Amino acid sequence: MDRTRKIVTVALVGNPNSGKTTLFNRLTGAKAPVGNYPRVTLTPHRREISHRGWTLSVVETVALSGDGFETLLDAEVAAAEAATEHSSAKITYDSHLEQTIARVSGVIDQIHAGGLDPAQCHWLSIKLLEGDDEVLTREGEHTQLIEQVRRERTELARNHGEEVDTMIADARYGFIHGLLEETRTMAVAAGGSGDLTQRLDPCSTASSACRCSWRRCG
Amino acid sequence: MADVALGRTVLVQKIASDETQFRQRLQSMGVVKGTQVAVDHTAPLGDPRVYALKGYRLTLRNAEARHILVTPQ
Repeated sequence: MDRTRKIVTVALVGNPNSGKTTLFNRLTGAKAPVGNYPRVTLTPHRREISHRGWTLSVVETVALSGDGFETLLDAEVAAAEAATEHSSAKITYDSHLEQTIARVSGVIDQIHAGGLDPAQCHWLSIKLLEGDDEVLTREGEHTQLIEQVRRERTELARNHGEEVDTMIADARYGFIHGLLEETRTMAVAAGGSGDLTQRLDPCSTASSACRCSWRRCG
Repeated sequence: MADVALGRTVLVQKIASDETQFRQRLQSMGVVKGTQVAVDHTAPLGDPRVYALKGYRLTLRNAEARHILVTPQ
C-alpha cells in the first residue's frame, strides 16, 4: 500500500469456483473469462479503479450480494486509511530448511550481483526450493542455481522423509493456525465481531445455506 | 481418502503423489498433515465426492482423493 499516492492493492481471495472472477468483472467493469469449472482463471487479473480519492488495484475477488459492493469498497478504503505501518510476518521453517534457504539465498544474491535486496533473495530461495514453476522458468537460465536447488531438494527430502514443498506447506499452515488462535481470542474479547464472519461463511463456502441475493451462490 | 465412508472424519497424513503441481495445489488448499477432513456428500454415481475441511468444501475425483493418505480421527 502506498499511502502518499493513495494506492492500495486489494487481493481478494476465495475458494476455487466461488465466483471471484464474476465479482472482479462487476467491480472493475472487466470481461475476464468465467467458467463453471475449477482453474478457469489462469492468469490473475489486476485492474485499477478509483474510489473516494484512492486507487484500488484489484486482484481476484470473493462473491457477495449487490448491496455488498459499496460496503466492500468503503471498508477497503477505511482499512487503508486507518492502517498503521507494519512489518511483514516471517514464517519460521524447520532448522535444516532454514539453513538451506539461507544457503540458496546467498547464491541468488551472488548471481544477481546486488540487484536484489535480502528479502527478495530470501523469497526467491523459498519459491525455488518449493518448486514453483513460474519462478523456475524465470531463473531457468541460471543452470548452476537450478542444479543446486535440485540437489538441495533431493537431500532435504531424503533426510526428512517428505518433499520440501510439503515441509513448507506444513510450516505455513502451522503459522496460520497460530495466528487464528490469537485472532479468535481477540474476537471473543471484542464481542460480536465474530458475527460478520459467521454471516459471511455460508457465502464463502458457496453452500446451500447461503441466503444472500447473489444468484450464483450455492 | 477415496475409500472413507460418507459422514466420517479423518486426518490427513500425506499426499502420495510424485506430481509436484498436483501435490502443491492440494497443499495450498489446506490438505496438509493433521488437517481434519469430513466426507460430506457424493455425486449421484459416487464420483466425484465433496469433502469438508478448514471451513470450506472441496470437490475431488476419487482418482485424486486416492492419493491422499489418511487415518481415522
